[in-house]
Amino acid sequence: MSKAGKVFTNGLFNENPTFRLVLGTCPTLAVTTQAMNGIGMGLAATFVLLGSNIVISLLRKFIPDKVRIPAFIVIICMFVTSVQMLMHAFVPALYESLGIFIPLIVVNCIILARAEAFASKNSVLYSAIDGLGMGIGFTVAITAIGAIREIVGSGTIFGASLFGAGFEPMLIAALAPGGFIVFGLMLALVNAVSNRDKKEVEAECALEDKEAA
Amino acid sequence: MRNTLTLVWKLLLICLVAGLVLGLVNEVTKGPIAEQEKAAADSARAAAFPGAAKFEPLRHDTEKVHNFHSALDEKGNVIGYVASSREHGYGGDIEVVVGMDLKSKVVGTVIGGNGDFSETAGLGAKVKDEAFAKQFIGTLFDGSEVKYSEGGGGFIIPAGSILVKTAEADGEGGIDAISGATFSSKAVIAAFNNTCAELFDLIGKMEVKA
Repeated sequence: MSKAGKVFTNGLFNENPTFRLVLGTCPTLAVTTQAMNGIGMGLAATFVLLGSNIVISLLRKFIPDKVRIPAFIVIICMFVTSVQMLMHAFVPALYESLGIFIPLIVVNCIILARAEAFASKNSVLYSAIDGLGMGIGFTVAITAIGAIREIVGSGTIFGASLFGAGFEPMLIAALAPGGFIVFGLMLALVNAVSNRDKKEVEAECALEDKEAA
Repeated sequence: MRNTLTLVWKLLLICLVAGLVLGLVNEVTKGPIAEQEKAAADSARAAAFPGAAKFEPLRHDTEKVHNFHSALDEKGNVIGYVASSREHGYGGDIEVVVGMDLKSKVVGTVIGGNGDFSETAGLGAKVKDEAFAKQFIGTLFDGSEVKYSEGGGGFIIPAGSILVKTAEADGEGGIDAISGATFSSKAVIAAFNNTCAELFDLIGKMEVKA
């Protein structure tokens, strides 16, 4: 796989921000009461991540190492606030649905983490791809959590009723404790799958070693 | 020393540029945002008073209830009044816009707020559903006696009317609160009651003048 492809899929699987890096947990737990919220928050974060990664990568030689964190934060805040104002002014319908998530992005540590770990060390192109991959990985992850909590907690998916009027939803799933429970179970699942993959690879290696011997 | 100075001017420059960009964006978006907010408030009023051709702002304001407008028909006759009030729900403020005709009957309500509605999805957010909102429509205030409401914090509401509180508190009639969302339901009822009390008051004053 090309380096660009690797950088892109890195955010989706190996370093999925929600399930592997466990970053941005606060917005993850706060907004995933519905699948639609996951998409909204995810897309808004992807947009900011893409923009801030590009700008920080462009400025990576200019920003002195010792003050890089405040510099990153100023740039990210500028980006988020501009996006909020522009959206409010020119795409009110989108603002209506994403508006409440935008200020939350400022405190989303995925953005800062990618600026620090990737954009400040890589070229503009790869930083943009990294931002896109991380953003989509984040979107997919929180939409999945949102879908589970919505199905169990309100018996709907993307607002459409699933089980009819007789269904008594398990309210806790839509509330904060349910967020922690579903998030924990998802983490366990992802870890189990990735551990199994790792074991398989190890077993194959061991087998090859034996054959070689 | 020189290194420290470099840090200072570089960080200063970044902040300066960021500040300039934000100022510029604010300058560009200020007008459209004000227009959007006005359009949103207009459409909320139109939904709270179906049948009104236009709305005129009134120079009337109270402590809790704001945005008083008179609703006019095509000929420019006043056919009722609209106002809004906010109460703290579970996640934040909930705004309730109420339209009341000259017979002190509630013709419509809009529950929510301008982009800052943040009740829990699937629970408190259900106060925006039509099933909940339509319970308020048709409430009549006739001013024959005086009673105190529970949800609204001790304001005066004329009885003989439908006293708006939860069905649970009333026993007969009343508003069915959303199960699992008592805070949100009570906030809507309180804001509705406050707004209605002020509108009722206003209608009385206007009749005296006329």
